[in-house]
Amino acid sequence: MSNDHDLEVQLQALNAMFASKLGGRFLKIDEALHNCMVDLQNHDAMTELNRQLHSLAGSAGTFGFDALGMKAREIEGQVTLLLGAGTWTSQDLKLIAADLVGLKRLAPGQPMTT
Amino acid sequence: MSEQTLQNILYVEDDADIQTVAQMALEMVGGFTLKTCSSGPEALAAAVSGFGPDLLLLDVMMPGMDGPTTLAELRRIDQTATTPVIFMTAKVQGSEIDFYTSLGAIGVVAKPFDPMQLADQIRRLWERKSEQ
Repeated sequence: MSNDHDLEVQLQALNAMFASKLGGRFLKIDEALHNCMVDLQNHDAMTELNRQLHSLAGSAGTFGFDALGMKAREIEGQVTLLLGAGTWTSQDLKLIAADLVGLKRLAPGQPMTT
Repeated sequence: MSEQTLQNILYVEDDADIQTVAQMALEMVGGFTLKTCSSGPEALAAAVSGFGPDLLLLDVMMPGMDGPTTLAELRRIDQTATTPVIFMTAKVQGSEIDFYTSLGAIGVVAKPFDPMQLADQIRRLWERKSEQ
């Protein structure tokens, strides 16, 4: 049982650390989206955007940020559809950018970076 | 029926945050011994070097070599040729679980997961395998 308690204490610290690093995750997402916008044919950038969103979607809930994780999952789904179609427009990317603004609002204590 | 106990786990996960919390949960609560790798190639190197785990715990979506590909490669190595495998993934729709099962997985842990419950989840899937 004491191990459970020790884990809970350490999880609280990990949750705080995860939250403190969200800005870095958002920067990687923004960078990938920027690369997509600069070159609409850049499939590697779109794949990286998808990967970053997938990573956030899979981890946020584990650290107690359920709403953030679900929003990331929703945007990941949109990006996955575009990747599946194999083509996208600047308007598609603008819609994703707008959703990312909403995503960042769900992060605790994050400065708005839009 | 296998009575093999679960102790040593080869855990492969590219996300450093998830890796940290899962390792902590499995070691502190589950009492398991983990060899943690950040990529498929790293896991292959661990297996080739002689690490013989009781269980493979694999993330599915990883850059470069994904979980299913990592499993296929691990199956070519004596140490891990028949080691039971559990996938950890956010992709847990019916067809996706059917796919993991077709690869020989004894179960799937959905992401996000509750760190406090992770060790129990793993142990239940292990025991369910032993009952089959």
